[in-house]
Amino acid sequence: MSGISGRGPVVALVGGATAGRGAKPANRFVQKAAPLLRMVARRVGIAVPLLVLVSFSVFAISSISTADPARAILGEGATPQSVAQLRHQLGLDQSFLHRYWDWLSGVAHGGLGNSWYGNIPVLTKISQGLPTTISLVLAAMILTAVVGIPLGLYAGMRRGGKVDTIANSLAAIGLAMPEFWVALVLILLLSVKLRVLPGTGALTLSGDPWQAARHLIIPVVAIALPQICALYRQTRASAAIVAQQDYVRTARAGGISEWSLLRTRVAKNALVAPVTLLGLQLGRMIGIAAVVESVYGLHGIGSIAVQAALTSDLPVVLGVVLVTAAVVMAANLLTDIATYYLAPKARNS
Amino acid sequence: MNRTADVAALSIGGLEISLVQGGRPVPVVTGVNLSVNKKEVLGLVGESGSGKSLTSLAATRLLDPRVVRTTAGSVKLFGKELLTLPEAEMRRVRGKEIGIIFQDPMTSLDPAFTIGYQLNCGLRWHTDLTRAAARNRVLELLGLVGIGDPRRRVDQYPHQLSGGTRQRVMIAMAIACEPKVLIADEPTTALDATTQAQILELIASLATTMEMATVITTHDLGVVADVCDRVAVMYAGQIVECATTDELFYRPKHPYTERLLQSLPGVRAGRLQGIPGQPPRSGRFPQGCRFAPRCPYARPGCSADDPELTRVQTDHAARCLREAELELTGVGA
Ligand SMILES: Nc1ncnc2c1ncn2[C@@H]1O[C@H](COP(=O)(O)OP(=O)(O)OP(=O)(O)O)[C@@H](O)[C@H]1O
Ligand code: SF4
Ligand SMILES: [Mg+2]
Repeated sequence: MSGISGRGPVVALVGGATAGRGAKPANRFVQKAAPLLRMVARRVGIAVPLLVLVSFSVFAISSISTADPARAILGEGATPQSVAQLRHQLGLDQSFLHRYWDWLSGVAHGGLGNSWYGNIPVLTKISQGLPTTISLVLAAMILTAVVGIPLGLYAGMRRGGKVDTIANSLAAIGLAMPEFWVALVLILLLSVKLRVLPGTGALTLSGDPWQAARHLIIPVVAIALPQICALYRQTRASAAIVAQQDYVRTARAGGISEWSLLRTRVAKNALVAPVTLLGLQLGRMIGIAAVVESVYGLHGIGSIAVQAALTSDLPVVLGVVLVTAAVVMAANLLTDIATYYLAPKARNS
Repeated sequence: MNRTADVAALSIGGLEISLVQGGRPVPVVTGVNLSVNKKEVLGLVGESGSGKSLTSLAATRLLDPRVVRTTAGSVKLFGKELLTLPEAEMRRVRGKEIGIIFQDPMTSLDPAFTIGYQLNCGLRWHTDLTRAAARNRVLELLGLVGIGDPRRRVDQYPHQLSGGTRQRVMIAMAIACEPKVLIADEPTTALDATTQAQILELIASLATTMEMATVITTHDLGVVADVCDRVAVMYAGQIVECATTDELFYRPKHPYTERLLQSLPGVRAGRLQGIPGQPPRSGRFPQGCRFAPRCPYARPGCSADDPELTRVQTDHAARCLREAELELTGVGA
C-alpha cells in the first residue's frame, strides 16, 4: 500500500515548548495599548483644526447671510446714528477676518464672548442650558442603546421569529416617519391631548427629581424613538450576519448556551456597525433636541441656539456650535475606541 | 469508567437528513449507519456533497432546523440516544462528551476573541477549574497540540496565526474537556500538504493517547489510509461500504470504492484515473442503486432495486446488488 506510515509521536516531540519570554507586565501593557494611544493622540490633534474650521464656516455663513445684527437688535425704529454706534460697539465695522481673529483669540483665552443681548457671557448662557440638553440627549442615547441593541441582537439571531417579525414591522413604521414629526406628534398626543404626562413648561432640574424625570419622559422618547428604530435595524442586520458565521457554530459545538452566545460572541462581533451608528446618532439627537426643546418650552442649549439664530446673536450661535461640535467629536473618539476594542483585526491598520 | 466493550462509543443508525426549505422536506442523507468504538479511528470518505458534514453536524444536533433537519434515525453515545435528548442536556454533551473539529480553520475561530478566551470557554462551561487552573490547562493544551510558545500565543487573535496553527487551536478546543468522541470534519482540506500530514498525525496520536473514539471525515481516501482503523465510504447520502482499512483497500466490495482506490495517486503506476460522470445532485437521487449511472458493472436490475448495506464478512459491509459475483481490484493487487 502506498504512502502508509505509522502514527508518529508528534505530541511527545512538540509538547515541551512551553517556556515563554516573560516581558515585564507594565511594558507589555504599554506595548499592547500603544496603537490605541496613538489613535487617540491623532484624533485629538485633528480635533483642534477641525473645530477652527467649523467655527470659521459658521462665522462666514452668518456674516454673509444675516441682515445687519445691529439693526435687528435695535429694532426698525432706530436712528442711523444709534445703529452705527452699536455696530462700532459690537465691532461690526471691522473687517470680517479681523472680527474672526478677535473671536478666536477670545476662545484661546477661555472665553466665548458676550451675547449681543444683555451682555451676558456666552459661557453663562450655555451653562444654563447645558444640564437640560445633557439630560435629554444622554437619556435618549441610553434609551436608544438599551432598547435598540439587545432587541436587534436577539432578532438577528432568531431571524423569522416572533420578536423579529414584530420588531421589523414597528421599525419600518418608525423609520417611515420624519424624525421631527414623531417628536411633535408624541408631545401633542401625550401631553396636550391625553394629559398623561406634564405638558410644556419650564423644567427645573434642581427641584424634585421625580417631577424633572416626568417632564423629561416625553421629550426623551420623542428624540429616541426614530433612533431606536434605526439602531435596531442596523444591529439586527449585523447580528444576522454574525449568526451565520462558522465561529458561532464552533461556539455551539463547545456547548455554549444560546444566551451566553448572544451576550458574548454575537454581541462583540456584531456591535461595530451599531456603535458607529450610535456615535453618529448623538449629533442627530442634539439637532432634534433643539426642536423638541423649543416646542416643549425647555431651556436647553438647543432652544438657546434657535433663539440666538432667530435674533442674529452671533456669539451665542458660535458658542453653541463650538460646544456641540466638540461633543460630537468626543463621541466619535469614543466610537473609535469602542471599535478598537470590538474588532481586534482592524487594530493595526 | 465501567463501560462494556461491546457498546459502541458512537453509533449512528438509519440516519436521514432532509432539507426543509420551502415545501416538502427533501432527503439528502439517507441510510447512514456507522459505529465507532473507544480508541478506534474511523474514516468517513466521500466526494464533496455526499453528506459528510451534514452527518457530523446531525450527530451533535448542530444543524440549523430552519434549513435542514434530521428526519429519522438514531445517534447513540454509549447507548444513550442523543436525538431526543433535551437541548439543555445536549449542551452538556457538546464539547464535553463529543468534540468537533471543523472543516475551515480560517472561519471557524472567532476573530473577536483571543484564542485563550476561546479555549477557556469550554473549560468554564464543563469543568469547575478555577481561573488559574483553567489558564494553566489552556497553556498545557496549546503545548499538547504542538503550538510553540503558548504563553505568547494564548493572548493572540486568530488572524495572527497561520492556517495550520489555527487548526491546532481548533483541535485543542475540541479535546479541551477530554471528550470520549472526537469528530473531525475534513480537518485538513484547507491546509497545505505538509501541514495536512502533521495535523492528521496529531489527531491520530491524540486519539490513541486520550483513548477517544474518532471519526475523520475526508474526500481523500489517501488521507485515511495512514491514520484510520476502519473506513466508511459515502456516496450520494448513503454509506456504500464499510470495512477495516486493510480490508477495504485490499478487498473492496463496492464498485465506487474500487474506482476511488484506482484514482489514488501512486496506484496503477502513477496513472490518475478520475471517476467518469457526476454524482447525483443532492435530493435528486436515481431509482435503485444511486451509483448505477456511473458504475461500470451496472446491469438493468441495478436501477430497479434499492441495494441494502449488507454484511459480506465480519466487519465488512457493502451496498451493491452484484457484490457476490463481482471480482473487484484493490490496491497492491
Ligand atoms: N444549509 C444547506 N442548504 C442547502 N443545501 C445544503 C445545506 N447544507 C448542505 N446542503 C446540501 O447537502 C449536501 C450534503 O452536504 P454536506 O455539506 O454534508 O457535504 P460534504 O460531504 O460535507 O461535502 P464537502 O466535501 O463539500 O464538505 C450537499 O449537496 C449540499 O448541497
Ligand atoms: S448495485 Fe449495480 S450499479 Fe450499483 S454498484 Fe452494484 S453493480 Fe454497480
Ligand atoms: Mg463538508
